[in-house]
Amino acid sequence: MQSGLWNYFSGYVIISVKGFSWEKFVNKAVSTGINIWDIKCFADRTEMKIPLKECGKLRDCALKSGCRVKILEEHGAPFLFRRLRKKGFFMWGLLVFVTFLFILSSFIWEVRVKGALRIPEEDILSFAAECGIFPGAGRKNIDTDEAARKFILNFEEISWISIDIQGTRAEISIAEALEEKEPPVRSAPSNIVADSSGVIDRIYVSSGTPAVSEGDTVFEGDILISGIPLTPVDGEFARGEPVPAAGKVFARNTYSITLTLPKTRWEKVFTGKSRNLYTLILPGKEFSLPSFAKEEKPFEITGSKEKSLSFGDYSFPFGFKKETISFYEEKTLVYTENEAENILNNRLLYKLSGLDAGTKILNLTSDFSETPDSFVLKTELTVSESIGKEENF
Amino acid sequence: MPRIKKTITEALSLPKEVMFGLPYLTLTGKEEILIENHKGIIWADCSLMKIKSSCGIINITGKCLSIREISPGSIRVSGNIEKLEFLI
Repeated sequence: MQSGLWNYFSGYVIISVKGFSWEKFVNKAVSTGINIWDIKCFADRTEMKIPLKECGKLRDCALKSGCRVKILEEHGAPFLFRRLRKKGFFMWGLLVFVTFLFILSSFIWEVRVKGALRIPEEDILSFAAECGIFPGAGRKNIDTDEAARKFILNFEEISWISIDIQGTRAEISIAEALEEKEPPVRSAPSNIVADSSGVIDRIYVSSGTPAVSEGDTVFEGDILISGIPLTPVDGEFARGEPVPAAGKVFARNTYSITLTLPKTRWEKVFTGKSRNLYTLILPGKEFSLPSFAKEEKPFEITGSKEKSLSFGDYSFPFGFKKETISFYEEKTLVYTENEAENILNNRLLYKLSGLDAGTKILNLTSDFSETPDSFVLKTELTVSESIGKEENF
Repeated sequence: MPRIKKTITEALSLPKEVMFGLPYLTLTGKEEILIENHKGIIWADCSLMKIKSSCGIINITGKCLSIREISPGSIRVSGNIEKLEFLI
């Protein structure tokens, strides 16, 4: 059993067998060692394929079986070469092409870098060129192991490298070492002092000694956490080495927020009329095309579209701009009480969202009132907020 | 003598198709049949194939039958196989 590709390269013929018993012919041929495939039976003949080199044995089989054999078609590489031999110029061209392709494929045509995040790709490519890996370099002259060793020695950031030559492409894959972290700088001894007054609500100390306790009233500048650690020794406190104090101190404070909203407002009400304005764009200049429509009330540009002339990917430096203007009237509108309350509540929420992280609202009372020309929302707010700041000795 | 050969073959688990030259049939679905150790074609057309073997004639009936390949050792028949029988 031979593959179709092998049959093509060795050449085969399609023969037609006519006679009383083509089965006899096939049996004779097979017994002499001929491989036959693709037998097709027709009413007056049978067609089959046999290898080119076995053609000489057919005559004997045909005589013994009483069949007539005729070669119908010739297929495969030997017949193709026989035909091409007559076309000398084409054969030479083919030979030159194959040679040219073979020569060109022995050079590197592309160098790719993978995995370079911190090291610039240009640096890697220029160093690769020094190691002999550059577009145009001969593949056989490249020693990838030696080049990889040079890379490791030259770039401290590279922890692993692989240089792979795949056909006419050189692929440099690198893995960069992790960045060295600088050791944390020990800061100078300090205290945590109050940056505003209040009543201490919560205190968390991670370094130093607490100087206040919950419920104490403190004023701006008071020490909250001392940077001098105190250790109890025999009923007394021994002073330790000064350290930078760290921790969080929360104090209760009461604030009053007053928000006002005028009862009337100006608003644009579009009339529904609009017009298009056209502008011609030339290199460095723009010309508005004259409009013959009567000028009306104030307007606003509600749409703009610019189109430059282009041919394929190339754009010419001139084109058209179309702007749509919509006319409006300024009207005085009055807020209802509900609208005003909603707006003021939203403004209050927006203000509260700006509070520092960790700040807790302990109590909140609001009072909505109305004056002759505005609405007023007065809010009393009690919060527990961080008041500590670091201060060096 | 053949009895001794059969006993030895069974005792040593030797392949019978090698020892006795029996046909070895490989059927792929109902589309293709490979017959090894055949002894030639007796009749072949689109609906019937008669193939000689050491244990009689193998009769293949079906539609669009054709011989894909034939060599001294094997024959491959493809098509829509409907019936396979041995005529002794």
